[in-house]
Amino acid sequence: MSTSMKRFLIRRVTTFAPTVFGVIFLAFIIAYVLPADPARAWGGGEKASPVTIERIKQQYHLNDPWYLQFIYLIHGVFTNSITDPISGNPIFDDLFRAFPVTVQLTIFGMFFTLLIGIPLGILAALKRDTKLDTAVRIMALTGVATPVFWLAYIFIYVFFVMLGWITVLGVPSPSRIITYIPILDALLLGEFNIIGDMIKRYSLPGFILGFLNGGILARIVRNSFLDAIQSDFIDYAKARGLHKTWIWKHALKNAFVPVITVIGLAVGGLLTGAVLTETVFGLPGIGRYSVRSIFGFDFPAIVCVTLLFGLVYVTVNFVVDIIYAVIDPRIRY
Amino acid sequence: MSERIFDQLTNAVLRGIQGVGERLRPGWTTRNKAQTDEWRLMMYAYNRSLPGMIGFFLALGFIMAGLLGPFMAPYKYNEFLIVQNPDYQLKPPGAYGFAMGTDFWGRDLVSILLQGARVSLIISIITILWGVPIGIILGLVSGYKGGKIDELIMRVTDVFIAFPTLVLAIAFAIVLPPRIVDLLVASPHLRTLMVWLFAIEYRDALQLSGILSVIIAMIIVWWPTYTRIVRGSVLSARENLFVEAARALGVSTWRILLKHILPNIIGPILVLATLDFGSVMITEAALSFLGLGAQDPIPEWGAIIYIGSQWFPASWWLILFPGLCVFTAALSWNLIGDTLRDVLDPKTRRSIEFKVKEKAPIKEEKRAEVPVKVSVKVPVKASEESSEGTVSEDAPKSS
Repeated sequence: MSTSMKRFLIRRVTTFAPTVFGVIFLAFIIAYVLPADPARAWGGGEKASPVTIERIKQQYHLNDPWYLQFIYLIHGVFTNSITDPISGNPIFDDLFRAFPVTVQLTIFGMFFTLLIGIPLGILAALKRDTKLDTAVRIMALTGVATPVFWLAYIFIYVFFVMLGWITVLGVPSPSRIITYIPILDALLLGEFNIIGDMIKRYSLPGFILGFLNGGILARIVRNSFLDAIQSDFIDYAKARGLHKTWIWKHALKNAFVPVITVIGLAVGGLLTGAVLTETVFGLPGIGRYSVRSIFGFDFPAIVCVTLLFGLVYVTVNFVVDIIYAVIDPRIRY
Repeated sequence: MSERIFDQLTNAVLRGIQGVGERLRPGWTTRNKAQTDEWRLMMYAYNRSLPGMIGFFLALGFIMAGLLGPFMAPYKYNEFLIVQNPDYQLKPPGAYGFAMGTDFWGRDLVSILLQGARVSLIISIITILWGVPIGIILGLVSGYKGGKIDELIMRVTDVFIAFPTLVLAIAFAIVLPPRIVDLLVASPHLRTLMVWLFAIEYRDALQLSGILSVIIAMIIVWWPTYTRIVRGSVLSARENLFVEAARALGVSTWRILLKHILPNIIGPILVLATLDFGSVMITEAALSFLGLGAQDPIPEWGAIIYIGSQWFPASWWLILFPGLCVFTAALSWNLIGDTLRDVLDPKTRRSIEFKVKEKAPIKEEKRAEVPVKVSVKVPVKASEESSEGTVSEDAPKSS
């Protein structure tokens, strides 16, 4: 196991390295090559003064040939020396300030996704072809078909404007940073009023993400659970007269192999994709940072954000692969 | 009861297809009989799925709204009624006889929603018609050729998949418009085509640059999923004996790919493409909600929600109604796709037929009657009607 595992890890890393490089290259093309006149675009479009344009060209090496620009960019990324033209800070400093907010939103989103998805999925599998099963199916379809930003406004209208249960202003944060995950820090420091504020602030966006993803997760849980419970080894276990709890244990363990992939992809999606939720709820996370930098024609920031997204995706995939290999002994690499 | 009507419609459609085939190549009907019988079974199974039929009619309504909406709308999309009466600004539904209210410039919400349906329809159709085939072709080549080409295509695909869809689309959609404007200025034919497609006025042609950028951005974002899926299925499909036989006979690679492999893997791709109609509409609404895509005065559902969000919560109708439109249209494609998944999969389709048989055993006779009635009306096509009779008898037998 261990040598094959090691070989598997090495092979994975060698295939991921080109992906990360490709991600930077694609971001570079978007930011430096596609705009008709990057310096003018960065300087604010038509109203940019010639002096500003000249300064930007100097600062970001835009007069050099494209391969030199690319090398400067990569060098800048690894030394964190690229500054955000708007805020003036090194970009990764800004990004690490925004990332905890997104992580927090992901935690709340995943909490609700799992809370809705797994019980509903198992119920649907047990009560297969009943009204409940159909309801789960329709819920999954509804989740895919609902525009997040629209649902967010409707929920804000109901729960904030009409009922006043939640807040949509401010970002509650603990007094000290320990783990970079705000709610964990608040828990460690024992600041329970801040935890209350956080629940008020994050639970609605979290619930919306959970509501939209939960239906799909429930469908996948249902299908893989049915596959597992109908497989031969369960029949065999039943025939041997094993106790019900044992049968359940085996069925669940096998059913959760595909589910883990989906959960992993959902975590990756939430970490990088909650752009709209963050925008509507005004949460200063990575998604809103990327939208802000894209709309500000803040191209160095775009490159760095996309690099971060690429890294998150690659890491999540990597972790999912490892979990896969650990829980399913049939998978050999 | 209603199923019989749809079954008759199905038969009529198939007869039409057979008629066209027969006209183009004599003997088409008999040669492709197995294929058309299979289609007939699929469509019968589809007719028996309530969600599928609901989705079909919702989608039909959306398409009709897109095609005819701009011409049926009570006002034009660029008719700023605020000029006539400053009081028309941001009126809630019902006020001054506006059924769904007005927006910031006093435009009638019903009218701009109808125009928005056209914009959404065209965007999703173009995106799917380009994105899906590109993905399929790359996947076919990658899976069949293998080796270095496969490695190259898959690495590029990985890079595109590594980006969150929305962020990549935003990035492309924001850098492209200046270049698209140049293109639109340079080519009057493109302008005319686009003005005709989107049913807008000629003077607004240059405002289309945003929408065209969104289309290009979404095509760029959409193909990788298909490449990955097609490649996976080609890898298993190419091991089939009939592929080997075709290769031994010296059939060209492209013919093997398109005639022997593609028909065997097209089912799941068709389902995904239908589902993606909905996803494209939501992504496109999200992009225009963020301020990309449709530029004023061209209305778009997401853009109307953005206008509404600026006076939220006072202007709730500008958020509720366009959102419902996006939701209904996207839901319809999802319902169709979900039903197609059951219908195209032979395993689940048989189970649908079983249910039909158990519930109403008399149906077999009734269905057998259908072609007889038709044959009275259309006596010319006697050859097909006989084939049809056998089909409707075959349908329950095969299940």
